[in-house]
Amino acid sequence: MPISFYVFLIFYYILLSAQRLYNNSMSKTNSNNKVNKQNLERLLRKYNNNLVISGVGVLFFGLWSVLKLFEEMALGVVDLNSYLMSDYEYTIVDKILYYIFFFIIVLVILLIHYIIGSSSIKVGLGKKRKFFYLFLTAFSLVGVIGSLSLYFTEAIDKSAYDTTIASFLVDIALSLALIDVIVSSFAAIILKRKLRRL
Amino acid sequence: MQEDFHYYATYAAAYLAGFSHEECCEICYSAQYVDNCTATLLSKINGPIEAATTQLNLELMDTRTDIIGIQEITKIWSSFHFLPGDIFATKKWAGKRYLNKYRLICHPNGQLLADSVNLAKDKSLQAIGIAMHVLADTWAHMYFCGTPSLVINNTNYYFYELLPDGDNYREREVKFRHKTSEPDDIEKGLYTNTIYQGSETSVMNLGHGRAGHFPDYSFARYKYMPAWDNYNEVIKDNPSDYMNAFCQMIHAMKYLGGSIGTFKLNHYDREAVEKYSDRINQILTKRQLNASADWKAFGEELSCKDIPDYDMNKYESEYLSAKNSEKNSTFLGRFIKAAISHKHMVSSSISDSGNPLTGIPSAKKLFGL
Repeated sequence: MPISFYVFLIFYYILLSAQRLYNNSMSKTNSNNKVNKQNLERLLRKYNNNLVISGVGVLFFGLWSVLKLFEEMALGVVDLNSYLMSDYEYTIVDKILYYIFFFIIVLVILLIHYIIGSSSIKVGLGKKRKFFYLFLTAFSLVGVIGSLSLYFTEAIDKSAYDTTIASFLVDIALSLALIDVIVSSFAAIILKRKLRRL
Repeated sequence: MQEDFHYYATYAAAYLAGFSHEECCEICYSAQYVDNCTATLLSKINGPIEAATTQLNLELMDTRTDIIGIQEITKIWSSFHFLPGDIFATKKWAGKRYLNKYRLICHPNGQLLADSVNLAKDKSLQAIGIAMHVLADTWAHMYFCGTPSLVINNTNYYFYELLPDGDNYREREVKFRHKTSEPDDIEKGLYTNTIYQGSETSVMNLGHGRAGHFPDYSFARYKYMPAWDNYNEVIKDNPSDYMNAFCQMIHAMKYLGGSIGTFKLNHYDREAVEKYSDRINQILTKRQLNASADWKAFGEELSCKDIPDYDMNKYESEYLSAKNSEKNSTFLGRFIKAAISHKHMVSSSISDSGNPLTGIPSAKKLFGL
């Protein structure tokens, strides 16, 4: 099955969850508006709390991804030269440019995680109303889920089974955190609209 | 609660309940002594360690947090400072381990409170003092439990102080700091709490440490999300709760003094304080870290006698110099006897309910047979 199919499945599940939440909040309408309002406020606090927790998770996962890469380079597991350059002989300027490009990519990855994490935390604390981070979250989610297939397609060194499984689990956890950011954001938006109407 | 309420306010309540000045002094001293009677102090006076009614920070740091250590901590704190409201409470989807801690949440007007007051009937004034300390703390410390538990006692960023603003209140976000060397700054809203510890049974998660001293300030009104309440918001109105505690203490002491026949839960003797309610409300709502001076002035106005300042070491020499056979008739001897009796009653009630946190219950009770 192509990766796009799995990505489509995940987004479909996210939209289904958001719609279910909206329907639940609508069906909880009863004659006692005060009870309904209290219930909606409670749910809003829950999803805001989820945003804060998932935001912290995404921040740490971002840091961990970069840290893991540098650790692997330091221990010799990953050879930067073989990743960046082929057998051709490059000039020193080319090599420097490639290294700078590599570190810019690393910083961009870190920045994306930071924007998602910090925005999610600020939205959860009620200090921010922007939505750009949701696009970045969706983009990151696609990237992370797409990379999961590599665990099954690439050959794994027998001595590295334990670290590979650990990395796989961390990536799954990151995916769940990103999904939670999206679901909780939409749920919070729906609940705020509902509360404004009451 | 602090010395201002446990000592001076208890004196005032005892006087309004009909006790004499000397009896009030013994009662209020005993009520405050519950916050000082540690294992360290008892070993200093060669008293029984099992009579400890509180623990120093240093003692808590040294206590293990395995099941034996947890039981030692819970026996003390649940018995004297966080009396459980309902040891048979249920919660949907809660497993047994969670439920054991959930059932230790402190609430006023629980059955154990009635048992504590009844235990002090026809006993010494020291027993009355201990019962009054426990009663008062059920109001101040409600929604927290006397066992180290992150999932019950934790608080988070959702913590707001409600400051009077005309007829309403305005919310001020509380940002706790970790500076135990400096007192809380109530004007700037700088408060200290215990450091977050992710371990479930860390002593940092004991009692109301995560909410700082807010429960002990009579003027404080605040709202927060208790960890156990499924994201529900709790609004704590300390002036109102402290007034209820004061009126309930009068009712309880009238029963213990023999003026009335029964002690009823959810019953507050507001008639006794009607004449003084404005004065008491003024003391309770005044924003100050320690209201001892105001409560002392109020108590001395009531009795027209001087209330001696609280001195933790006042009765130690009497106890130390008494012969072994006469120790039980000294002030501290009577206090120790009452403390052991109260602790045993509460601990055995909790363990008999099938909760192992204060002692291993019988297999029958543990598995609900």
